[in-house]
Amino acid sequence: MTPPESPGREAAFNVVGDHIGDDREQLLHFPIDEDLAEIANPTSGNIVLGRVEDFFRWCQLSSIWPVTFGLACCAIEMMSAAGTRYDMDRFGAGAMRGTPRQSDLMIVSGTVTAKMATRLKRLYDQMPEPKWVIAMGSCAIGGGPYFKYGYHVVKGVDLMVPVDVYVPGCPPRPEVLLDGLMRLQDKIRGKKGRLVKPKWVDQYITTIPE
Amino acid sequence: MTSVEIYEHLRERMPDAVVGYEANSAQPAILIDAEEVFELALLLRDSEKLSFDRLLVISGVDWEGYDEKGKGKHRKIAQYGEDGKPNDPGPEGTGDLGLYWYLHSMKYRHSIALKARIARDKASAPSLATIWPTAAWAEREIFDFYGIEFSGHPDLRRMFLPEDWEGYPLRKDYPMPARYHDVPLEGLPLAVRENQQSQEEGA
Repeated sequence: MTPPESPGREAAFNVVGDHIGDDREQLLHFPIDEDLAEIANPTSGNIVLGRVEDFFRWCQLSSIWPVTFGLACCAIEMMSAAGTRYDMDRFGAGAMRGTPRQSDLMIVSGTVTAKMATRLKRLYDQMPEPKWVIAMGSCAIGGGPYFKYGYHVVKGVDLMVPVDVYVPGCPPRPEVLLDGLMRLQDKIRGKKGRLVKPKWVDQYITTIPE
Repeated sequence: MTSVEIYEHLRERMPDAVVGYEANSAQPAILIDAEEVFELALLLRDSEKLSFDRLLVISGVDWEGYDEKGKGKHRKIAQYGEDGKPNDPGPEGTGDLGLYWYLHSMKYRHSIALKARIARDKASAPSLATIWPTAAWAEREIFDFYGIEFSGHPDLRRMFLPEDWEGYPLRKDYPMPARYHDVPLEGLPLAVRENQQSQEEGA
């Protein structure tokens, strides 16, 4: 029995991203050079050959340490995602560091006010390369409800620092944050084509409400 | 005591300070002269019949910018200058500012609201921080957002906004800045920017 076809389902699958690739690659989280792996397999099952760059990327994406940095109500969801129920540590991103100097990832979880934006920029500058930024929630993406009359709110954290992954929601549920984290891992891994903008998005963003 | 009885009592004791009584609201309010609020507050706290031992909250309000029907207005800013300030900040407001003090008595379990109008050009009121210490924070907040100076306040500084912020944002005639130092406060969401970019490239 096949599920009924509807245009909404297709779009939703595109956003979330279906995981393509064979099982072994999913398990190991880094791409295996197939030709070299073929050579390696007959001699021993414990040897996997690959490129050094891929190995480093795999290390980076498997231990993304976020800086402990919560701004607003999104921070509650971020804490929930880091807690036992959703357990962000499964993806290697559970070690929230108390200093930006030990961190790879900044999850901008909440409203970025003018007063906080200067501190946010300083924290970002203190983080060592390579570093990534997730804009979590409507406020961090584009000002959210403060877009029109917020005299004190930065209308999107990407006006201050470069952003890698946008996680929509107000606030986003922990699952969505985890999905954003996995998309960031995809980005570090160097895989493209998983972030597909659905066609119906365009009709909402062509006009700004006055 | 009911709020009407409190009003009658205050009018007997301090006829100059009490202006009127506003019954037609969910919270009845006694209209007072803002300059007399310190003496009035002392009476409210120390009088045996009243003994208002708790100040719940102080609210600031700006009556500028409301039309006759009570609907609010907002101002549109056309262009910003190099310094991030609007080229045309628009006319300055002329309406009154106002203050509400909400008091409660733990002893008799009655409560009352005091309401005062304050002229916009010389916005000041006596501080109640020496009577109820909790007033110090509320007054700092009101100073931060409405620019009402509280005379006799121990530490009147900005509370939420940065020290060098210009203007008082909750006043209705506040022109919204485009940026604060190098922090942009004006901008479009990324999706809109990308869409505009792609449209320009397409054209």
